[in-house]
Amino acid sequence: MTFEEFAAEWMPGVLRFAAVLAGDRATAEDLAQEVLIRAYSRWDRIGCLDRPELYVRKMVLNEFLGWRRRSSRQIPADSAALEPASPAPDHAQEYTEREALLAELSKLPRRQRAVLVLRYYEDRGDTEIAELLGCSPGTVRSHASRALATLRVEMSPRRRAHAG
Amino acid sequence: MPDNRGGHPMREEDDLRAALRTLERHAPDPDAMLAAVRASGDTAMPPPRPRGPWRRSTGAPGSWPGLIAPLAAAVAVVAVVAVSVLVAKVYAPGRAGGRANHVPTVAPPFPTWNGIPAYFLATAGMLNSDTPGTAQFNALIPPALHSHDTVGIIATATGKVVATVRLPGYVTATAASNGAFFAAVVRRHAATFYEIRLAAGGRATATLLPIPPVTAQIGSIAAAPDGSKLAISTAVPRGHSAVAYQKLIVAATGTGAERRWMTPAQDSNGDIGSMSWLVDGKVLAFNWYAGSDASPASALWLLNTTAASDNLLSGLAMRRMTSHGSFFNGYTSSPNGKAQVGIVLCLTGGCRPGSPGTIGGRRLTVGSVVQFATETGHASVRYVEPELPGLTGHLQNSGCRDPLWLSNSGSRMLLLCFRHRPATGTRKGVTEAHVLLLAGSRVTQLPWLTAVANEYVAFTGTTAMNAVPSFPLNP
Repeated sequence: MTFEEFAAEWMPGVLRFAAVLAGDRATAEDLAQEVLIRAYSRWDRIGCLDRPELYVRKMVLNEFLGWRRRSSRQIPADSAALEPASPAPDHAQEYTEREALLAELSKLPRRQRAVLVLRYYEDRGDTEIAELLGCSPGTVRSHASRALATLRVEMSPRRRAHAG
Repeated sequence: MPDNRGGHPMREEDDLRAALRTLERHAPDPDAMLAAVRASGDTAMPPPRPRGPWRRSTGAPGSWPGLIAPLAAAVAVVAVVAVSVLVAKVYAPGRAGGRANHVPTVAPPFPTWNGIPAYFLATAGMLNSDTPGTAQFNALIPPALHSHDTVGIIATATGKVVATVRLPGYVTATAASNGAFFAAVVRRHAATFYEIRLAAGGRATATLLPIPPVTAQIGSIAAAPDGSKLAISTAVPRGHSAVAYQKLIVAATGTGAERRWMTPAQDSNGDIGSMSWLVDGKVLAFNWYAGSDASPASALWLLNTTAASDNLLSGLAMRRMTSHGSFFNGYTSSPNGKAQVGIVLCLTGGCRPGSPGTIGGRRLTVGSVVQFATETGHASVRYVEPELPGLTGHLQNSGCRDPLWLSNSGSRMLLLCFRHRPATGTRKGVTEAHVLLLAGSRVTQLPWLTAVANEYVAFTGTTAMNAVPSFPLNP
């Protein structure tokens, strides 16, 4: 498969996957571009694989997780210096439950978020997710469980308030 | 999904699925992405070196198929050694090099670290010329970079100098493409241009480019993303007066073929600031400072270098320096051209604090990092360096410089920011500078870059300012 054939058939799906993982357009662009440039330069090898699109998706996943691993070694700025960048417009009036869920999702550790994306967006089984992440299925279930518990805890007050 | 808080498990799973699907709206445009990939990576990158033991070939040991890989590897090693020897003859670090006929290949893209190019270029002249807190900083500059004719390749992840190259003259400007660095070197009143690459084994090589020497003062240089072209801004003296025309040269790094643009006469008092290429390698973004700050010509200009005109200001005045109740010292364009980042230089009323100017409801502060969207013109404050306690309102006691590096979309940037405590009768002034990575709304300090990064270093896609702005015009 040539890179052009891959791009025509599979790139939109890969870009959607990057967007769901990243959670915002700008990060998705950086993530996808980082991976696609690397894939393009190695296409003589990747193109020979049976399912090059799966390989590229795994590259996207690894890049996403790699950012997390690398950034964890950095020294976080003093909390006083953490200014909210590009202040978001006030969505208070239209702040739906779904947006609140996405906001909480974005706060999850990346590995937990990746597990949820692979499980609920890609509909992959725990064994398959474990292979992709290089861990055991038990670890996958543990990540999923913790992530869901976090979301549940964060979302419950909103739901109660909404219901009330 | 078990739920012990009252919600139905299937309902929550469906909610999660639906919420994740909505994130698809953030998917980048495939056509734009494909164009960016082609433009950035249109290069024959060598296959990655196998990790661990050599992969076994399918043939039996001793058979021809089994021998092909080792033989090919041996031949490759011999070829690499031969090429290295040839390169070393062309220019060996530590002594003046000869002229290369051409640059043979496009350099493979730099690896990345945390989404940032893993290497950048610095020189001693750049590091200690205008760094805040000079005395403290000079003490931290690695000894390997103490000479003005030496450039150092520095690892972004550690701040360590991984390789140095000594060039045959004064390094006056630097730039970086996706995979190589470039330096303008002045010797005997003429600038020549070198391409610097990081070779295997942590060794750097410098190759003289076939670009004709430039005898005018060099302003800044900018490398096209694929390294095939170098934009060179110069000041050309006009007669015996101090007035100089600004001129732009775009030269092919492989052949030296040039194209030139001149300033129109009425704008001859203007000045080109920093420059950068957009990802397509055709449009050059540059800051133009006309005689007056308020002049409409003082702006970030986009010049299509494939268009016919030789008028430097025949392109599009993208964004004026005077904007949103403040004056910007210039803008850095994101490589995809969809965003510009500017640093607030002055506020309405003459650089005084407490200006009424605001963006997005936040008070404009000198040194604030403001990002503009090309399509909508929407401006948002990306970062404000906190002021030192007790000095609020003191003019410019904190702020940032132009981004050292911007990601393709502008969402991630590397910033050099500082906080300054002015001198008192009993104490010297102190400036604390630091480098930080801005990723969306997340700010991360990179303290290991404090001593080796300032606005003169060259990162991929952005233009380092010239090392010595006061370098005299050549006679």
